Amino acid sequence: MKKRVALIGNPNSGKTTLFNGLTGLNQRVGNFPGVTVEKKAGKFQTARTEVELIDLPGTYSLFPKSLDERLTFEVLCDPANEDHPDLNLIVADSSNLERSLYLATQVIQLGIPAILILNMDDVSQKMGVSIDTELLSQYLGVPVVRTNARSRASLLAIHELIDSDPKPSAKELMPMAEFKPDVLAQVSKVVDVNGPYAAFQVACNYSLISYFDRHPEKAEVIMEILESSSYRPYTMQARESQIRYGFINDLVPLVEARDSKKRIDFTSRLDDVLTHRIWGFVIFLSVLFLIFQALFTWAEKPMEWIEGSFAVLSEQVARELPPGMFSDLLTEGIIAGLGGVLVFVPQIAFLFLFIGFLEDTGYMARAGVIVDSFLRKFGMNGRSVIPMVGGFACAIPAIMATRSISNWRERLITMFVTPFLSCSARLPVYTLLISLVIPSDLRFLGLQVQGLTLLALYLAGIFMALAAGWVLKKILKTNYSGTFVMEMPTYKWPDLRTLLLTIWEKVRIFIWDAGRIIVAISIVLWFMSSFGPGDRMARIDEEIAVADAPSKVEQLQSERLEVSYAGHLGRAIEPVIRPLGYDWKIGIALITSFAAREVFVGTLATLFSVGDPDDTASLREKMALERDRVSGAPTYGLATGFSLMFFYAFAMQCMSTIAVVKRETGGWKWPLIQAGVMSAVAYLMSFIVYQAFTLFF
Amino acid sequence: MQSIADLSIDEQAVVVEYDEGDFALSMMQMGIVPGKIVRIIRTAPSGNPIVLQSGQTRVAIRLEDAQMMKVKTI
Repeated sequence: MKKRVALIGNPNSGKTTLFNGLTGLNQRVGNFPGVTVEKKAGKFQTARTEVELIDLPGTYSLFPKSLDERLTFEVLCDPANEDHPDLNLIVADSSNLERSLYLATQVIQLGIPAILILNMDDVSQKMGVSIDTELLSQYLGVPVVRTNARSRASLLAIHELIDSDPKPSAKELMPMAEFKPDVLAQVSKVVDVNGPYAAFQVACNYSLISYFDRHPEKAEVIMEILESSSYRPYTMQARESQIRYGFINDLVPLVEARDSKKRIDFTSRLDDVLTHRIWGFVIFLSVLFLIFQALFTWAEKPMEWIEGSFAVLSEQVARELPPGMFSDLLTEGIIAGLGGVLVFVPQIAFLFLFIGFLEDTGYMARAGVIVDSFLRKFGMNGRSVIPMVGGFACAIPAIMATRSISNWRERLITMFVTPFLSCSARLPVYTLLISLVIPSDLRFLGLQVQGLTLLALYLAGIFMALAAGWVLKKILKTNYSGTFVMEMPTYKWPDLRTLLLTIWEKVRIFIWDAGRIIVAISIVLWFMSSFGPGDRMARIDEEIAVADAPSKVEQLQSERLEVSYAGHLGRAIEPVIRPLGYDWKIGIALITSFAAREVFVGTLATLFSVGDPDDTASLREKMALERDRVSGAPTYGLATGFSLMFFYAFAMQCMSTIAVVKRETGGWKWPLIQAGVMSAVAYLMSFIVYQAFTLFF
Repeated sequence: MQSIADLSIDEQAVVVEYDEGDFALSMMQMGIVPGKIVRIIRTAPSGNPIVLQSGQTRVAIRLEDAQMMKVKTI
């Protein structure tokens, strides 16, 4: 037997942990058709059923306020939807049965077979909650099972219930008599739905459903039906919540017994500290600092190891293969490009470890409360803190995470400013430049100047993001309609396995999506810097072959690069970037890194290793040796280094971000404005920094 | 009528009604429906937003929205 099963539940109900427990590693992440909402699907096999499980975005009710919720709504209410399930697994937080039952009873009433899973049994037991599952099952008309997503026995219990082939509930949990059944019957004739409650949902929300974008004539008919019977969705939905909670409030005392409030007390004691007017801020800033520290020091060793391994590999390949174009392509194009991708993995992993940890423990919501009044001054809200902290890892998932912000203006501003925050792709650029121009033993007030510089760059990004938000808020004056309703979940320990799977997912997406671009560009670059117009390259090659002094060879190699296609391109833009202190090599890197910032380092690596494949000295050392041929001063000095750092802090330089903003805002207007503004700010700031440094140092 | 924004911390009140809008629906779907007992358990360091508790549910809302939530102290 085959079944398509959907997993539905409130946010913070342990749904993801359960999904991972059920599917193990047998899962894939994609997008729902037409939208960028992440779709997680997996497969597993019970004794008798082959299950295809879809993880629907967490929601508190079927009412589709945000895009994520709209998706859940469409999958469940439209029987023609390609993901419409044969069975619903409804995940309830057993420590908050009352609230969980709202969505649960809505979903049960849609007329699709369902199983109610009372999850987080371990937590609720500690809180002294006991639930009579048998009685609850009788009232609801669906099987009910108590689980702890981390235990094997729980998963087997779910398997057994799936195999028992449950039927739709026969109970009318909320009598539809109060909701104008005649109107609902008319609606049922226009669209194919599973019963009067599904018809009610369609009647209330048809204007938000994409199905009706494709069938405008049906939307028209429904509008007429509602108008002629003065059917007001708001009144009906408000009535639904009152009647449904009336039923739930009567039901819960019958099936649940509570004997202490231990856990709530723990949460509230922790909140006393974590949202304290002074300690709350101190802890929040400490958490941010800890993240930077981890990225810089903990990630350093694995990064060095990856860099080193690729250098060895490149050397090995160059030694084994006969010298020639193929060997060069492999070592200087492909291997260098792959190394440039994989070196980010430690940082991305650490960042998503932190974000995942903060989110799963429940701290993120507190951080949101602490910063809401602050972020509002800049046109955002407390929910923006999650995308913004995410923006320190990568703007792409961060911009996608803004979907939880229901207010369009606040969401747009959050998307607009997030790329100003220093994402992890900037870190290698920063790291390279910092280590190049600032000695590691240089200290200021006992602190390493290298670390302070990094901190300054992050702060500059934050400052610019806020400034942009403030300006946008002034420009986009709309009426205040910012509803901000954010649940404060009970604190709990995150599930390690879920955390690790999340990290793995992010790493995999990065390697596939950004990695492909990086490797492709590395190959193009290798070609551009190995070939050039005319026969000048060939003549220089002949000279290198007969040159005797090493210094002569080095100089020829540098000349060779200058006459390549890359050299021509870099020099073409040199006049524009000269006032920022950049030479043609940086010019090339700026152009190629528009694809993705991290390409900057890869480009320089390729540019500097071209013509000298046996040299495995790190890029850092090579760049430091680079001298201006006229003055003999280091090419990458303090002024140029800082100018570049600030350029990368502010410039858009990421075509994936542009693509994702285009998708999320539904057009080219916003991403183009954003890219234009960011490039202008970057140019201006770098100009100021370079001129100031050359003047004063 | 009094709104929840007028209450001080830990003062108990009953939800009477909401001004019509998305805020009302969001709150009611979280289970904070008319008739429910609610109180402010804490505020953000700046005093806004405020955190409400009703039953087992704790939510943070802004003072501007809070004015749309009419209550009666008990």
